[in-house]
Amino acid sequence: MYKVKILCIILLLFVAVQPLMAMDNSSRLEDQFKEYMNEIRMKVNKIDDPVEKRAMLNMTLQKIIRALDTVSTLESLSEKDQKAIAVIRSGFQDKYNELNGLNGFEKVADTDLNSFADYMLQDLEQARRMVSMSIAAFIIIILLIILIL
Amino acid sequence: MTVEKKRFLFSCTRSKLFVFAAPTAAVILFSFLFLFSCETQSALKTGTPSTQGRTRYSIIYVINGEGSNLYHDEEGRPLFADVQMLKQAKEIAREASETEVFIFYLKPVRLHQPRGKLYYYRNRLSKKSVKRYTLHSGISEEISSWLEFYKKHSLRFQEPGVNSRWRSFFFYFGHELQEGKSPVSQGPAYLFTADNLAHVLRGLNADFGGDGYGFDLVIVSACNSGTPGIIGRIIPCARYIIASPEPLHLSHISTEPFKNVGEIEKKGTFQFVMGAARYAFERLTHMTNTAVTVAVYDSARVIPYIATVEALCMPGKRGNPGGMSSEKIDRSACGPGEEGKNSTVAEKKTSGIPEYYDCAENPEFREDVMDKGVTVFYRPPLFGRGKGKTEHSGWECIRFTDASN
Repeated sequence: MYKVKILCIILLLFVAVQPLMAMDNSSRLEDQFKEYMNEIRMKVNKIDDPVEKRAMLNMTLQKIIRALDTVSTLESLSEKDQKAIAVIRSGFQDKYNELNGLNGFEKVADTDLNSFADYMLQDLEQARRMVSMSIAAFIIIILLIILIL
Repeated sequence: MTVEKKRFLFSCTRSKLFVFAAPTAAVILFSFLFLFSCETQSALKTGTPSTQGRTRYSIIYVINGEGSNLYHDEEGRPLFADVQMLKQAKEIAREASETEVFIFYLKPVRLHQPRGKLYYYRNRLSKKSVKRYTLHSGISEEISSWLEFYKKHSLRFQEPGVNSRWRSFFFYFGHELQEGKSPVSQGPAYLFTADNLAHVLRGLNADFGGDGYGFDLVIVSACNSGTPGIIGRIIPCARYIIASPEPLHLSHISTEPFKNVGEIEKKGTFQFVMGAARYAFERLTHMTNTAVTVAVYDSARVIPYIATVEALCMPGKRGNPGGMSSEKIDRSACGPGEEGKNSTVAEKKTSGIPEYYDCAENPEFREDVMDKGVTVFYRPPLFGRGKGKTEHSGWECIRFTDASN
């Protein structure tokens, strides 16, 4: 009898969890990444000191670039994924350069840092830059950014 | 233990087992029914049927909720683009007089949740809504269900002689449409292609009886929808098109002005369409710091040269970049059984990594020819490489970097 109950509970849980398992995992991860970037944006908006604001934005961009670099070194990655990652990386590198006035970019003014944080989030929200790469590569990148680095 | 006691215990256990197992079995049974069923289940939800008052405007929304639709407002609150758009479509349906509104809402494939929902409103009243539970159907089955639903309920189809002059509008909302017959990316999030959109327009237009262009206006509210490939596919079906030849924020092109769709009679179609585009542009520039590009395409003036613009995006393709193209779009292609009739847009390479750029950057782009009939509302991004760009041609070219190169 006990075994039957356990079996029934397992089956019930299986049925209940199925919708979550069936969800489009890459979309959920993309959502998590957007939420993460929104948190950064809100934190930047709350900070008064522009030096601290800039430091937080720099730290975020460096973290993303580092994650992309880490994934691009994986041997199992296809050539297409590597190229897609390179395109995405160059977008974040541009933002880093602009924030710090490097490589011909005009440095983002202290008074514009909140707007720049908004821009970073909106750019991510509007463009599906990750669509060109495989789901596996995408998952690794997001996990590295959000959970590990 | 006595026999009675044993019997009592046994019956208790059995009844407990029954109480526990019956609902579980029911849940599992229903789950399997949903899982393996390829039928639709519908739920009727009607308002008071309105037979009074004329109906002379027809608005069709296709809201594709697949993929990630999350964005955040100024306060950091999470919003979902598809849900917001559905809300707005329902508002329009409840406020626009003399109008029938169809909403075809496509959701991601998930167990125990509807695959989509179809709504029909007429003269501000909800007439019908149907949930679709078809889990394993492809996009073409979904489109067929939309066309069938439309055919069954549209007053225009049911009573073709009721008005001599209907005005019809078609709005698509979703992520970037893939050009070509199959999506570039894998996964359910990117199923909808430009061909799918053209197929829907052709299907609906067939029901309209082929009066001219079919639709007074088609809005394609998706990133990079102002490419010659996408415009070329839908132009036979639309008098005017509003699209974005650049990335478009998920807050989308607003259809708010269609609450007062009747104003089109006073203003005229062109002015009304321009007003709607301007409204969408101003709203987006107020909300975002990224580039905002909203373009209006006047089909009658664009059709003569669209194949030439596309030739710019497709090296080696026939066309005459130096002048008007002899390879014209056949407007009668907006009808049933005409798939691929406009062959100028059917051969594009769609593998590799897409890269978009303003067609005007191509040295062969002829501004004197290729900006005819295109009105562009443009605001450059406040940051990034495009910050200094002052204008956009309204045409977005796409090239695919071959991953094997």
